Amino acid sequence: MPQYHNRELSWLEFNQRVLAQAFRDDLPLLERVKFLAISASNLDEFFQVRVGSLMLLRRSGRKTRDNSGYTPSRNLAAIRERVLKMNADQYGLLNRTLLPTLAEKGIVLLAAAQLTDSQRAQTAIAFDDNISPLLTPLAVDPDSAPPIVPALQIVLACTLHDPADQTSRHVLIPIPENLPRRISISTDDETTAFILIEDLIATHADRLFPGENITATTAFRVTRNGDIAVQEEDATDLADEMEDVLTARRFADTVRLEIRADAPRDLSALVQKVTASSAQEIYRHAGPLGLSSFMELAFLPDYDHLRDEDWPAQNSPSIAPGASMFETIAAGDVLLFHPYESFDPVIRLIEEAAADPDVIAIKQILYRTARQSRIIDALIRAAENGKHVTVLVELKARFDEARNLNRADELQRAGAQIVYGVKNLKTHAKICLVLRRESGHIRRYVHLGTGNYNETTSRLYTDLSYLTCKSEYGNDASLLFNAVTGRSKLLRFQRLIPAPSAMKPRLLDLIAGEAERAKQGLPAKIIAKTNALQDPDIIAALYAASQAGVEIKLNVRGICCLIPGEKFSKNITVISVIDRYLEHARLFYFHQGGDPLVFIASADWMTRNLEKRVELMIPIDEKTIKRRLIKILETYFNDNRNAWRILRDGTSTPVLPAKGEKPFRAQEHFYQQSRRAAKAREHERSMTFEPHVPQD
Amino acid sequence: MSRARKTHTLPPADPTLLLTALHIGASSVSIIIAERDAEGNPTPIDFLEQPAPLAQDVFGGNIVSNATTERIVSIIHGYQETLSEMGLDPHNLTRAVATNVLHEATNHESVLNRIRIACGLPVSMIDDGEMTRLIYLKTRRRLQHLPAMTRRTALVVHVGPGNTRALLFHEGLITRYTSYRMGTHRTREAVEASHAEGPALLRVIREHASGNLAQLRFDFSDVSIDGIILIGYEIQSVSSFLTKNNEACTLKDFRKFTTETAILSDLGTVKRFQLDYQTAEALIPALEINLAIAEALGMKEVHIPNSEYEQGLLHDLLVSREMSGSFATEVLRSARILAERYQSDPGHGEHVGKLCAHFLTNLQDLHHLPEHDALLLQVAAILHEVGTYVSPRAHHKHSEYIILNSEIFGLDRLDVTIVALVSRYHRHSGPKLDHPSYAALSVEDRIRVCKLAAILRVADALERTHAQRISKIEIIRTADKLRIRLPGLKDAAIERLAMDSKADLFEQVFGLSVVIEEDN
Repeated sequence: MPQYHNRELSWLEFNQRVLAQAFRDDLPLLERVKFLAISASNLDEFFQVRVGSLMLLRRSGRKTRDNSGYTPSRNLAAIRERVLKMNADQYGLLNRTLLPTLAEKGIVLLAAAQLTDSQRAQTAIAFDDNISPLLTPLAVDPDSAPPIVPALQIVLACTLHDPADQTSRHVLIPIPENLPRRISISTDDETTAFILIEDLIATHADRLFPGENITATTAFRVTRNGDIAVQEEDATDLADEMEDVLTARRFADTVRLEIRADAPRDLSALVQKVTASSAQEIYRHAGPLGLSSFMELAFLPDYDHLRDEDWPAQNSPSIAPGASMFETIAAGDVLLFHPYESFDPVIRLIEEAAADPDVIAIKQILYRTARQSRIIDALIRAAENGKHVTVLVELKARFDEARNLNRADELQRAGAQIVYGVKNLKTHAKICLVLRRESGHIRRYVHLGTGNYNETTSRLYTDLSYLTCKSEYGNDASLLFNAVTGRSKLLRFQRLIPAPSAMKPRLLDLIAGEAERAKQGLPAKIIAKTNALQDPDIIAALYAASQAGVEIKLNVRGICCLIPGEKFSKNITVISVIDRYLEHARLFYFHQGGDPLVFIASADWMTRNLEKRVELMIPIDEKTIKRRLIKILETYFNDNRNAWRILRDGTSTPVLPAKGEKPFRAQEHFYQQSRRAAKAREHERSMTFEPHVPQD
Repeated sequence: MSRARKTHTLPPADPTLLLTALHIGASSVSIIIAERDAEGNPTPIDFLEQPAPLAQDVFGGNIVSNATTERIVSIIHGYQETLSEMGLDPHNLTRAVATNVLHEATNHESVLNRIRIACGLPVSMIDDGEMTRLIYLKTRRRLQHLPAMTRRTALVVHVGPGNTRALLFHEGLITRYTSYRMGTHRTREAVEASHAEGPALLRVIREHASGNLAQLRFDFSDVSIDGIILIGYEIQSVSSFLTKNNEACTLKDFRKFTTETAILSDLGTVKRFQLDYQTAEALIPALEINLAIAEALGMKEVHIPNSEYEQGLLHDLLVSREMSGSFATEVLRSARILAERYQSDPGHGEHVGKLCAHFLTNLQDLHHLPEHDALLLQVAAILHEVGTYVSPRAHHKHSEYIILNSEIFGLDRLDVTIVALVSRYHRHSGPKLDHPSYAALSVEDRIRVCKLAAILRVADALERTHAQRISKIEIIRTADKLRIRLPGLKDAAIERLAMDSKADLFEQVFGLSVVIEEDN
């Protein structure tokens, strides 16, 4: 029986690695604040999704064990224990290190008690003018049903005393999301001082209740189950159904109650009752709640010296600035490594397609898009220009549903054909297909990627883009779109390997193939970079390959249920790289007796990706590109500054330079490399003149 | 919310470069869009397929249900959108055909009418002849490289939804063609009532097919088959599980695979082989019938192509009308085998054929007949006297009957009807509307019969002696006459006499009286 790490605990270890970045005093201060905020934001999502679904499982009375042997109850208990430790680390770091250091650098978080009289007067004006009109206090009546408080918003619980009749009552004041968390306070010096919104409201809340005094306050924050899935079978219109889910998610069951550790006992009990939280769901924090909102602090203007130096995205040497994307791709396949290389060529392809009179159709899958998406703007223009635009908008992209719904509506109004995903599957493949008529023939240009069509994340996530007009990739892309738009069943592809039908069997075949080679005494090797490794069949196949003697190097950013370093996995090394960019590219290498197979993919090695999603694995044949991808894969294993080695017990330890070894940081190396390549190409171009010649 | 698409400003696609073929099959509706490459060969650029339970309806109740008809309509509408996206006219396809299974539905006409009304698309039914032609094309175009085809004698077996066809190739040429009323969906519907499962189901299928299997064994009992190739929608959809890289599959493995598959549930089959339900349900009959055929013929291994059956079929539909030279040769060979079976004078038939070819070539601007009709005339010339086997008296009528009820490889039902009628009208009365087979034709096809029969009669008159004595002719056309000069012939009294009774149709059809001039 194969052994596996617990998925949730493995994820929490990943988050601990993120948090560890915030502990690093060799990082700029605001970067450390950012990592703290990311770790908090990650936890929010973790509670909504994973803890939410585990609680539902526990409530259903299911005692089934997961692959690691945990029942839902045991899993939840283990999660709580681990999260409490992580919370202690987060607040210890914030209170003892980050806030004092920020203050030293001139960024001061003031408590209400620290305000001077004039500052207090200033905040009173702000409260009356800008804040109180937006507040809606909710009375807590012991004889009525408790008010429902929205999820992930800070709520102030107050005890009010009426001196006239000597009675007390409680009110809850949810702090609307559209109010800033951080309110600036003027100071006499050059420091940037601010107070948190909940402290400011607590200070002035009695102005909301004339004749009553506030005797006690505390802030709390509720996390609710986000794992409310749309009932697709009953959904007559997925878009309508999704709106209902969005509403339901705000008021679903409580999975976590965060409350200030200094909350008075009676208020704490009240909040627990109002939110119907059990003791196991309460997390008491020794500091401000909602640390994810400290992200905005990391972007505070005028403090660039406290941040990483800028690493601007470089122009890829494969992209000629003057040529159209169609000319560029027709001249040869293009690989882009984001964010070191700009995502702009991908956007340009769609923008050029929208305006090009020879383009007849554009088909694209959108999963998570940016707020101001140039891609969607281009698709709208294309539809308005009479192109056939087909867009699959995945409404089930958790937490991005609202934005996706709005943009889908806009696209539809412009005349695009919109498909809201595939029933029972999430469509996670990253693909764009442009059909262009050239000399009477139809040529297909395809973009295949590992990341979403999102200009914002393309600057923060490492991802790969592959652009080609090879007919077999174009054919397969058409087959995929025919299938996801419901016009055709999913047919056998020539080159692309889709999930859920073919990717997992193919991966298992490839792993087994390496194992077989190793058994025959031939060199055998697997290198894979993925965000998560959880699928039990894949892990079992990797164990078997390891036992057969295959050298296996895994670069897994997040969840890793594979246990390295055991007898059955002694040939497996697992690292995880946590750096300024979120590692997101999926990239696989199979040695295949010296004629390696290299794939990029949209899918992680998780059961949900391989069995419940429409995903694509893309074989890369073009020699130069293949060599580059292999180099990228290998480079991560030289990182001794931001890599972690995953240990047998699921925890991780930083990879440090060996004695005499130079420090090496993979992401910095990729950036410098792309910069050098761009410069070299620029230099080359400056030496070559292109004369203007008269047109025929 | 507005769903209206803006008016398209895109120029239409070049219809000479883009080709389309739609196939309403036994269990799916598919479409191929192909582009002509530099050599003019169609290269597929898009292929769509959706399941629809046509065969299940037809073999289950002899009628296509409204639900299935509407499903087909809705699938075609989706395909038409794809055609529009490519700038193609969604109502004007290169080919739009339905499986011959549809013939067996009592409401086939209303189904095709509904599709025509809803989709603006005329769809014709593929008949047995065209199906055979398609299998031949597949064999020629895609199976040549298979190891089995390189053997001296190879049998290509196609187990279709309703019928099974077997083509015997000897040194690359077709020497025999047979068909049987035994198919995947037909069998599935027939055995469904048994409620048998697993090995019991295999036994029921085998018993149901036993009559046809015995006939097949008998049909090929006199030949030694060196290799067998199994083709068909269902079997090719699981070929990758049976063989890799088009290698042979041993009968032992094939049997094991069939037994293992038989115990899977429908859902299990769907999941394991990534099939739709329609195909999954017909898979067991397909496997068992193919296995039974291979066993009946004593084969040790079988070849199953790894290519996609349906995509190949649609691809071939685009070129099946443009018959290649080798295909025409196979058709003529099949006609000669038939003529030989009925002891028709081969020298006479071939010579009449030559004379017909001469007239066709030299009178192109008069008859405007296409190449395909030239082939039909050649076949009619070879077969026009097969009726003498029954009796010399009224042998033209016997010829019609024999031809109508024979298989001529590569000719579809319409082709065979035309050949039969042209043969019938080689003597005595010309075409009349009280002749049922003639009256059943469209006006265009009746005109084709008249033109072809008129030429056959003239050629036959010149070969009245059955001695092939006229080897050279010169044709001179005047305003109202076709003068046939016969260099080297001093006395053409016999031919002139024959022409007197046979040239009437030529004059009626082409407005030219036929005059024979000797060489003096």
